[in-house]
Amino acid sequence: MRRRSTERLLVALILSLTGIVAAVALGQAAVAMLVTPWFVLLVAGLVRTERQQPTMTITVSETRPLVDDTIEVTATIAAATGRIKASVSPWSPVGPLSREPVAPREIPAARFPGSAPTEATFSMPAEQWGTFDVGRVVVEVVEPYGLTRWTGVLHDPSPIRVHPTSQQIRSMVAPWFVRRTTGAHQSRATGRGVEYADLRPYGPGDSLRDINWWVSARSDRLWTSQRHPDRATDVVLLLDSFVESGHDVHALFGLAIEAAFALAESHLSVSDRVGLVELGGLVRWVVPGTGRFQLQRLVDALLATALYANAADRDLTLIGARAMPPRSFVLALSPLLDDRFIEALIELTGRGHDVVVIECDPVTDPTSTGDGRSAGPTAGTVARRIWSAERAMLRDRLAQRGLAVARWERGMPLEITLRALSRKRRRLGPMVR
Amino acid sequence: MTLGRPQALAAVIAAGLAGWITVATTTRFADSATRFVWFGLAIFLLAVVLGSRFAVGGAVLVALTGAAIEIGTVPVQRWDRSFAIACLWYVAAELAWDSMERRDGRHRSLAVDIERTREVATVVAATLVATVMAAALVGSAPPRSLVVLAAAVAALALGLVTATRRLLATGEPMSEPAEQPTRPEPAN
Repeated sequence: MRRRSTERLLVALILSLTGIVAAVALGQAAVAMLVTPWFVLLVAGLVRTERQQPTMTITVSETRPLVDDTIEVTATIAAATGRIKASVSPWSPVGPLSREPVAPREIPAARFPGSAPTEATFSMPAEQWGTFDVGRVVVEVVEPYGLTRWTGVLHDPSPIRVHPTSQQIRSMVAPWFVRRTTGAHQSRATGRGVEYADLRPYGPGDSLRDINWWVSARSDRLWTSQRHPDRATDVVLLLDSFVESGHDVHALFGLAIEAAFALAESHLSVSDRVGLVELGGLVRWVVPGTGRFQLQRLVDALLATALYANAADRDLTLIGARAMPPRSFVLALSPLLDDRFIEALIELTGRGHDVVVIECDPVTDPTSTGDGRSAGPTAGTVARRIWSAERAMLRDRLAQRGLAVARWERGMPLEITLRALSRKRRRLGPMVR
Repeated sequence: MTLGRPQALAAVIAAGLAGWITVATTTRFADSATRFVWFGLAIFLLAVVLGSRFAVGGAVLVALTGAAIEIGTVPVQRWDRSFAIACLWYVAAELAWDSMERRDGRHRSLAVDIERTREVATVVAATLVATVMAAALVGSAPPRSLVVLAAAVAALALGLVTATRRLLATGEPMSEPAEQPTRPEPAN
């Protein structure tokens, strides 16, 4: 912190000295009386100034809030006298948390030595998901009589990661391939499980609990029930971060991120290994894993994702082998606007991965004018219809390659999209093995 | 939250009152004193409107110069008049500064207002005591030469300036917060 003079000090100093000199020059003590308040102010202020500089700390109530939560930033200032002015400067290398200016505070300092330090608390709403910074808290301790002030800047370097409120998903898209570990996806193989699969004659080593007594009672031999075991799978969330001009790319990307959050949470809750691959201007990935820490890693990676315009060739050769285990279940989240990403999807299918695409739809209603009115046969409407037809053709092309695509738009429950994907996969591809 | 309008109005009223007392009680050189006072008032009004803290001090200096010119030419010293003018200008300046501080939309607690009021009241009370003491002591003070007075004033000025400089020299220079890692720049 640094001590600085205020306007009061300079004005009081100039007026006092001028008045005293004038009084001596004129030989009139009453002239000096005219500046007596300023002289008194100067003396009182200099006597009451604190030799010890104040100490300051900053604390943030929460570093991982949800969207619409309020974060409290508290500046704790230990100053013996004076009054404290604290304000938040929106300076930040990452991005300020609050776009609206935060009203500064002015509070008295702790009056007695040893009493609790003064706290200035600022409430900042977390308006959108992402990684942010609380900014700098500028603290000014004005000493008694306002002649001098201590100024300092507090900055908490730890980022604030605002999580989006994820949707609750009850049903999941069943993967084609499963791992040998226990999970929640029904395998086509027979073994120990819950879902009934088939009957076979009782053999040596079969458990008595597996004997189907209803069937055995109607025949002259024992029959055992076979069941589908529940297995886990490797899920890879493939995020399209290519920038395609002409659309509200940030809104589209936001849709993809929200869906990724919900999918990661739901698959991790049923013991699947979940990873993340960001394919776009930057290529980054999180190796699949399970558990709460993996969810934290995925959330951090998702919050750090951003759109970068890049004309360079980006393909799957850049992705590490561990990021995409063989025969993994790839959930692609994309507006399907960039050909490079579409080619990557087709290539993944060719490599033997089980790929489904959630299309984050850039146009919600092709016949809408955008202001709620029904559009007439204008050029814009015709263009939108052509656009819709092109999109339908693209979906058909992907379906021919064995890729199920379902649209998802803002305000629509993700579960509807997942059910649509399941229906399409039943028509398109093989059943679960 | 207040925009400081009541304080600004009170400051202008206090300054106007100080100016009126200066002009109304002028015995000689009325024109010179009046011109200085009205000019000071005009600067004061402008300073309050523009929010210039130094201009407020300048306005007080100009107005007090008018009063000092008038006092310097009168053989009889009127302590009560000097006290009233000095205190009114001081209160007007404090109110003007207060109104400027409130313009940034700061949440100011009641305790701070009470603290500020007490400080101003302390200064006024100390000025009253100093005035009474000066009025009592001036008659019995021994005669002094101009050299002694000048030396005393120089010593006082030097003491004040030195104390102020030493006071401001304490503390460490303010350090800027370190840059933290940012998101990677776009690749192209």
